[in-house]
Amino acid sequence: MKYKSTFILLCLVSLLSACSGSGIKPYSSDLKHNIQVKTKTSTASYFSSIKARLDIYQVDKGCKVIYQGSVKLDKPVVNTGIPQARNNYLVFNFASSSFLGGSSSISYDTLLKTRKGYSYDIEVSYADNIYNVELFERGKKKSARRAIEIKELDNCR
Amino acid sequence: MFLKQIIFTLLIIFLLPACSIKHPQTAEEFRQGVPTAFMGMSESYTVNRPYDKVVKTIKRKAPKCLNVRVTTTSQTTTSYQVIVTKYKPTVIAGKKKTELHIQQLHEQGVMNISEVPRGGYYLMVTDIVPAGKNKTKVTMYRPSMGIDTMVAAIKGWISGKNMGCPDLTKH
Repeated sequence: MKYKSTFILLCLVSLLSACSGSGIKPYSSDLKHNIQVKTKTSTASYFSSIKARLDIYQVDKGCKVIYQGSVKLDKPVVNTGIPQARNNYLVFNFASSSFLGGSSSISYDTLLKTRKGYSYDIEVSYADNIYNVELFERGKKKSARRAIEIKELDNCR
Repeated sequence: MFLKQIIFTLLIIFLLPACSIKHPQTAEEFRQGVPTAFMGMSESYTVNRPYDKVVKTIKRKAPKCLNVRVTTTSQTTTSYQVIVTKYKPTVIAGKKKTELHIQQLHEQGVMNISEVPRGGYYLMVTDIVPAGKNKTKVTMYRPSMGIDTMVAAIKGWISGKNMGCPDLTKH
C-alpha cells in the first residue's frame, strides 16, 4: 500500500512537471475582444496532424517581450482581447506530428501595434505544408478592413 | 520523418560532384556545379507577371518566410534525434536581374563534412530577369527532390497566386 501511494505520487509529480516544463500557459484576458482569428488547417495524411497556436506577448518600452499566454487555434473562429494602443508581439506556431514520424514545429511572428477602438481580423491557414498568416485592421464602425503588413519585432521603437 | 531527414541530408551531400569533398562556396559555384551534380537540376520558366512585382514579392516574402530556424525531432523505440537547421535567404535585387540565394546550416544533429560557406551550404539559387512587357523569366538551380515545399512556396510568390510560407520541417 505504501509503495502504491508512492508510485501514484511519483506519477503525478512527473505529469505535473511535464506540463509545467513546456512553458505554455493558456492566455486569459478580461479585455474586450478585439482580435478574431480564423483558422483553417489540413494535412495530407490521416496519419499526421497539425496544431496551430497563437502565443501572445506584450512588448515593453525597451522592446523586451513578456509572454502573456497562448491561445489554441483549434476552432474555426477564436476571439480574444489584447491591450489597445500598444505594441503586442504575436507568434503563430504550427506543430505537426505523424504516426511513427516524430514531431516538428515552425513559427511565424509579427509585431502588432493595436489602435484604440480598432479590431483585428487574423486569417491563419496551413495546407499542403504551406502556411499563411494575414492581418487586417477594422475601423471603429466595423466597416471595411485594411490589410496590415507583417512587421519584425525590431520595428517596436 | 527520420528517413526523410536522412534522404535529405544525403541529397545535400551528393549535390556536389561525386566523390568531391568540396561544397560550392559561392552562388556562382553552385550554379556551375548543379548540372554535373547527383540529383541536381536547373529549371527555367516564364511567368506572366511584371518583373517589378515579382521582385517586390520576393523581397517581402523571402526574409520573412525563409529566415528561420527549424527544429525537427525524430523518435523511435531505439533512437532519439534532434536536428536544428538554420536557413538563410539572401536577395540581391537589381533592375536587370534579381538573385535569391538560400543557404542552410545544420547547427545540431548533422555533421558538416566539408568547409561550410559563411551562412551555410548553398541549397538553392534562383535567378529572376525581366522577359519583356509583363513577363519574367525564372531560373532555379536546386536539388531535384528534397525541397519540394520550399520550391512550391517560391513558385507561389513568383506567380503571385500563393503568398504562404513553406513549412521547412517538411521537405
